[in-house]
Amino acid sequence: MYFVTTTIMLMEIYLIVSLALNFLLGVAGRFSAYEAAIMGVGAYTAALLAQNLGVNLVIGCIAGALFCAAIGVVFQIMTRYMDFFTFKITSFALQMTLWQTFMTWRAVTKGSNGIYGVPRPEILGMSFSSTLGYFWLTTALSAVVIAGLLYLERSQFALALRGLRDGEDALESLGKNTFALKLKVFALSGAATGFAGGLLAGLLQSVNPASFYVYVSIIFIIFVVAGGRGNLLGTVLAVVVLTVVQESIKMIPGLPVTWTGPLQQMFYGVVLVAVIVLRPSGILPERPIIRKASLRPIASVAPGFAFLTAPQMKRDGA
Amino acid sequence: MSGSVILQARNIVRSYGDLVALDDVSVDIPAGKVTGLIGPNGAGKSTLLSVISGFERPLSGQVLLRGVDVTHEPGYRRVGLGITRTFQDVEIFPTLTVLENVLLAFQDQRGEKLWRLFLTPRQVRRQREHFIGQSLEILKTVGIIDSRPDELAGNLSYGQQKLLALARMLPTNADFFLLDEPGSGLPRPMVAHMGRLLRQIAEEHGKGVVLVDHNMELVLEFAQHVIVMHHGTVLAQGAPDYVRKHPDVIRVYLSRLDDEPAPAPRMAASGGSHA
Repeated sequence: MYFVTTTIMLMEIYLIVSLALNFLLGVAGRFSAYEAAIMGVGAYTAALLAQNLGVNLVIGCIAGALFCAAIGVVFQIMTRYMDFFTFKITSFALQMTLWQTFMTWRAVTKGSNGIYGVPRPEILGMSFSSTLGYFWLTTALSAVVIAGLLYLERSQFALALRGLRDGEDALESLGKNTFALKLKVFALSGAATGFAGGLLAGLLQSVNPASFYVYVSIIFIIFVVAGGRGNLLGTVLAVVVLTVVQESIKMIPGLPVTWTGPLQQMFYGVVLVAVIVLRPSGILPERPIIRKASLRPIASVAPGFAFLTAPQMKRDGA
Repeated sequence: MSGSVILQARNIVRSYGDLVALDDVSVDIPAGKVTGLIGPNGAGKSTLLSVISGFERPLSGQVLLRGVDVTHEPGYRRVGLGITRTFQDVEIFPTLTVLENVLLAFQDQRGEKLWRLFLTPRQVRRQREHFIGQSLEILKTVGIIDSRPDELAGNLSYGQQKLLALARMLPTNADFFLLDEPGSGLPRPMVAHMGRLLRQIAEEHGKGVVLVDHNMELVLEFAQHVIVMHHGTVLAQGAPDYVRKHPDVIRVYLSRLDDEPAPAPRMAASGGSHA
C-alpha cells in the first residue's frame, strides 16, 4: 500500500512538471532543459519555509510556485534575443548552475546531504502527516493544477502560443505582443513546476539535490516527446505508462539492486529512440484546438464583408 | 480623395551597413484606395513596408498615421492603431488549421487572458463563438473554398496559403493593409481574384491597401495610386496613367543598361495581355 500511494504521488508530481514542460516545449516551442532544477527550487523554497519558519507546506508550495515563476520570467528576459539552439544550451546551463548551487550552498541547502524532516502540513486541524493523508492532499492539489493546465490547453491562450511557435513575426503582425506572451508561458510553466517541487518535498519529507539532476530533466523531456508535443493528454499517458514500467523494473525478481538504476535509464533511452524513429510526433500527436465538430458547415456561411463594418470589440482592452 | 485617414512616411532613411536601402523616402498612402508600391528588386519596397509596419526601425524620419507619430511604436501595437502587414514568404501558421489562422488575428481576445479564462469563462466562450463565426465568413468571402476550415494550413497549396495570409489580416480590422508580394508565384486567375478582393476592401470599406510587387502590370491593373521606387528613392507617385508615362519610370523599367535584374521577363511571364 505504501509503495502504491508513494508511486502514485510521484506520478502526480511528475505529471504536473511534464504538463508544464509540454506548454513550453510542445505548445509554445521553447525547448527548455531545466525543469528538474526549477522543481528543485520549488522544493527547497517550500521545505526551508516549512522547516525554519513553520510555514504550512501548502503555503510553501505556493511560495515556491511564485518564486519559480519569477525565475522563468527573469530567464526569458535574459534569453530574449537568443535563437532556438542558444536558448536550449542556456536552459541546460541554468539547470547545471542551479544544481551546483544546491550542492555547494551548504549553509542553506545542506549540500549533498540534503534537508531532512520536512514537516507535512496541517489544515484546519486536519493533519496530513500520514502517508495516506498526504496522498489525498497531493492528489487533490495535483488534480486542481492538472485540470487547470488541461483547460488552458484548449484556450485561445494556447492557440496564441502555437502561433508563437509557428511564426513570431507573423504573430506580431496580427497585433500580439509576443514578448509578453513568452513571459506568460514561462511564468505559468515555472509556477506549476515549482508547485510540484513543493509537493515532492512533502512526499519525501526531505530535499536532496539528487532528485533534481539533469537526468531528471531529460526524463521530463522524454515524457513530453513520447506522449506527443503539444498534446497534454499524451503526456498524461506517457507519464502513467512509463512510470509504471520504471517502477516495475525494481520488482523484477532476482535483479541485483545495483542493476535497477542503469536498467531504468536504458529503458528511457530505448523509449526515446523508439519514439523518434517510429512516431516522431509522439503517441498522441497534437490536435487542432478548434475542432471540426464545433463548426457550422462552410456551405451555410454567407459571404460578405460584414466583419469589416461590424462594431469592433473595444480596442483598448475590456 | 476619399477619406481623411492617411498614412505617411516622412524622410525615411534606412541602411544596412554601407548599403542605403531607403534614402530620404517620403510617401503618402491614402485610405479608400489600393496603392501599388513597385520597383525592381532591391529598390527598397519591402524595407519601406517594414518601416511603416514597425518591423524595422528607420535611422531617421517619421511614420505618421492620421497625423500621429507612430515611429517608435512596436509592430504589434501598430496593428491596434491601424496598420497590419503580410510577409513576402507567406508566414502562415502551418500547424494551425485554416480557421485557427484567421481566428488568431482577432484583437483583444478574452481567451488570451489567463485571469479571464478562469474567472469569466462564459464571456470568453461567447466571444470565441462570435469570432469563429466571423472567421468562417472571412474564409468564405476570400474564397478558400476547396479546403476544409479544419485542414492544417501547412497542407494548403502555395496560392491558397497566400489567400489565407490575406484572409488572416482582415480580422485585425486595421485601417491599412500592407501586402508584400501577394500575387507573386500565383496563376493569373488567382491574382485577378485577389486584386478584385483588395479593391473591394479599399473602395467599399474605406481601407488603405498597399500592394508591393515588382510585377508592374499587376499593380497598374488594380492600383488607383502608384508609387515607383528605385535604388531606395521614390521615382514617381501618382495615378497609374501618370506613372506609366513618367520618363524616369520608363527608363528604369525598360533600360537594359540598368544594373538591376531586368523585370521585363517577369512582366511578360505573368502579364500576358499587354503589348
